[in-house]
Amino acid sequence: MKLTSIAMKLFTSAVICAASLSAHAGYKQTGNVEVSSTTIKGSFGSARNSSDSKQILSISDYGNFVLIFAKNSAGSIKTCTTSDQTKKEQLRGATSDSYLIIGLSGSTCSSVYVDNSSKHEAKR
Amino acid sequence: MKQSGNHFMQRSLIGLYLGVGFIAGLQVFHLWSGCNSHNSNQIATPQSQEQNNIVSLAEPANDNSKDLPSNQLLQEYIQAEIAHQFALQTEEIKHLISQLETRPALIPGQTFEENEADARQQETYILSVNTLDASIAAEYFDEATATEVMSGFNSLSDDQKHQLITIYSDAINAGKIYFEKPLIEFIN
Repeated sequence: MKLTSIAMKLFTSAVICAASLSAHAGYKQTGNVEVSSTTIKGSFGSARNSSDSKQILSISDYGNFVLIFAKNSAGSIKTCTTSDQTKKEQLRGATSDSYLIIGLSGSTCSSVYVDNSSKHEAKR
Repeated sequence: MKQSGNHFMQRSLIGLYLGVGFIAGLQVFHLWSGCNSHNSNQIATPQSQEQNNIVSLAEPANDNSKDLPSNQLLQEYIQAEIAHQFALQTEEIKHLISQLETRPALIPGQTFEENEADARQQETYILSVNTLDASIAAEYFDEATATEVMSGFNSLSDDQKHQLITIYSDAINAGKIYFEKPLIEFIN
């Protein structure tokens, strides 16, 4: 009876500890770089922190147009440019912790989504 | 402004074609009439002599048995000469066209210095595109190529910069070339 009580207390403590740790860490989402003929996805933090030393995600601002360059862990590369004012402003609003979802139409960035969220991995 | 420049270039090309065609026509006509004004044997005989050193100039000109081969020789000579002239003219036209294509048209209303600056900018752009095109054709792009392609990037217009990068991006996405570094790193 006494043993059961101790076990219950230990279990409860463990659950509380785990819950508090989880609350401290926050929700996280890894954003490794993914490329296809129609999409580029990924977060700068995950690309930078990845252990494969291959992933790259970059936004290059040339003034009248912006170029996105992405390489995944397999070494596949996709790139696109946009001279659309709205898309340029979206991309200029990206931070080093942002997650990007870019639609490709040939070498034109047909759609741009920039997600700035605590869930994305920060660059270390 | 750019459109009037293109019209100017088109007019220049048309003028060039007409001029060269006219000169070529004159040459052919001159050649033809010059040959017809002589007795065919008088022309053919020295050529025959040149070929075998047997036929003499003193040989009778009205030898009917020689007429047919002589006429054939004359025709061959004329055809060869015409083909030669056309080949020369074609080469000349190609050369002039390539000069016109690489040289941007003068833009009316601009100063000489502005036109010269535009011409230099256009030449820089063409050099970069040619380097990139050659690399794409060879399916090989390395850091040396990137440096060369981007060497004059700062002096290009915004549109030229975008066009150049678009050509590069198209080639990367199509898998024609493979290069792991963003090109912006090679702007100097």
